[in-house]
Amino acid sequence: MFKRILIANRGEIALRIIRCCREMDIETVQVYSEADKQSLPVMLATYSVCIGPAKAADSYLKEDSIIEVARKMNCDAIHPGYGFLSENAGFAKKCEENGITFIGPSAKIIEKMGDKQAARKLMIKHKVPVVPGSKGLVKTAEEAEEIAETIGYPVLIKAAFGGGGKGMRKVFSKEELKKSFETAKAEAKAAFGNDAMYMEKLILKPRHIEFQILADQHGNVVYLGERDCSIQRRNQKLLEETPAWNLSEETRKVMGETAVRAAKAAGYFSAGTIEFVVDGEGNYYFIEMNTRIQVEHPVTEEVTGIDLIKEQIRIAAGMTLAMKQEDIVTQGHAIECRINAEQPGKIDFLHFPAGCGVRVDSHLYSGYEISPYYDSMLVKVIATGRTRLEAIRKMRRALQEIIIDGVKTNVEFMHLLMYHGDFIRGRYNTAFWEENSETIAKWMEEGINGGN
Amino acid sequence: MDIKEIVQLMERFDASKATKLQLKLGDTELVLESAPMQNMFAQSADTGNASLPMTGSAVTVVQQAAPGNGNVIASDNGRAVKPSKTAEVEVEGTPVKAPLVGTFYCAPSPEEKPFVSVGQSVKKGDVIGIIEAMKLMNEITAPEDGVVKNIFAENGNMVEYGEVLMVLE
Repeated sequence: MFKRILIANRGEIALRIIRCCREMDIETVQVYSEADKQSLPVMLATYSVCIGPAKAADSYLKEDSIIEVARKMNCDAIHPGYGFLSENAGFAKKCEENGITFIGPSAKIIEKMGDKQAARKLMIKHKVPVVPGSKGLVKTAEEAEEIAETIGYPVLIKAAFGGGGKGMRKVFSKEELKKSFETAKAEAKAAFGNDAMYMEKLILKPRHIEFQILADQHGNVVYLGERDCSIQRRNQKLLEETPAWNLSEETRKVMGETAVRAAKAAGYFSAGTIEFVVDGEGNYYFIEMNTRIQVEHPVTEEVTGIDLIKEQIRIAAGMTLAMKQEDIVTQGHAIECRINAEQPGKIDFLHFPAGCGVRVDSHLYSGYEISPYYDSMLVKVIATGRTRLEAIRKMRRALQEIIIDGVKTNVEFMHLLMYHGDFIRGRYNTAFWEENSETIAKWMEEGINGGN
Repeated sequence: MDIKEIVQLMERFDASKATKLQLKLGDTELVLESAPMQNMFAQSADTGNASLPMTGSAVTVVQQAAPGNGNVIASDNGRAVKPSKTAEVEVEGTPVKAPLVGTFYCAPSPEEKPFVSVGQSVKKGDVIGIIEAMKLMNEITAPEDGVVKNIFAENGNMVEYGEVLMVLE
């Protein structure tokens, strides 16, 4: 087992890793930027080393500085957390070259799964359903029509080298196809100087459902249930819950086994997440694989009783998985709300909710200064109940109790979300925020009953 | 004040109940500060009487070190590389700070003489040390003309970003 782990991250995930290491009697080395000098991870780690100024590019992303500290401080391993260098194959390789264990998969696997096209091909090869699409580039409108017939409408015409929604057209019927194809092609040529096009099936208002897997370095892979992360504001997750509502046990089992198959196909080891989109008919398609621990891992921990960071460390140390698939039992329902700061500032007063079924993961303390250099997530509030409704009630109670004075946050929004009919009924998809945020904003002004 | 006197003073300070000491002797200023220990009295589960915690019922004393002294909570075994910095010595002059994290060397190679020594005069841009990171040697230069007053960085030890390597006057 490792004796000393360097934490190449900050904020709540650094704290999470430190807590786990303390339980495992592993020393921690916290590298930090000048902006994080007064942070909780720096105070609680066994050692801390300042590696650069506030700007992430000059500190948390400075691979050489981090490796240098790991070497000089005799660290056996580096935990990259999420974001920053966690999915950087080059960094993972540097760790390998310097005899330091990167707590995650190998550099080769990170590289493989980072190439979305290659990952897609690999999944197809192993009979993992992917979003149906053209096998390669689409050259003419006639070809486009043929492919659309195979995939089925609606389809999405996309520029192969595009972005920002340019050179992209949604086509709902055969009649519109030719014109849309020509227009998209022309737009792509004008915007990117390249009119290479391809096609995908358009999934309308999908649900984002991801499966947590754990795999050791001896070929054992298990899935630990799923998370529904459909409530997102401009592709940023706000809330995650497990289990996903309205997912049959049958589908859950098949998707879980598919996730395991996908991980095995990639030769994966460590903690990882397989992302699917699920359409209105219950069809699911592989989107991508996240080769790191994720922000929302606590909800999975709460319903399975399994410490994912501990398992990551054990796997990295070469141990076999402590559990078999049949040992994994999920119990109850867990919801996580992400609380974000709207601007930087100083926390004048802080009070976290606690009690039965409430977990708070956060690096905040009273008097802490939130700097503008990093992401705005402050707190993760996780409520777990025996039923979904119980979890919702506990979340309401927790968000009512929490006090974060000094900075504006989205606490009130998330609290009111817990009273939204569609959310309570579990009837939502990725279009939820777009369709309902105005209503909830109105509730914040007028109260839920419109002030009557 | 020399290092020996400062260390003696630190030991006396640690042994006392004082939490802050500010001393100015000539052009040397020394500030010693320790984080206060917080005593918290908790009731045992049986008493149930929330309002009077100290009325002869079983009392548990919980001592917590406030944040800022995190090393007290963590296991303090064999911190061979870096001593804990509970005192900050403030010295007048221009500090030369490490522009990156790495290993500090005071000489171009183990066999050669150090770049500078205390009392030596330097010009802006003179090399006063090397910081090595990932096998790359980075020359550290004097930010302005001056005389080397103190050298804090130790040869072969790791230095942090922003750490004061030496002070010029």
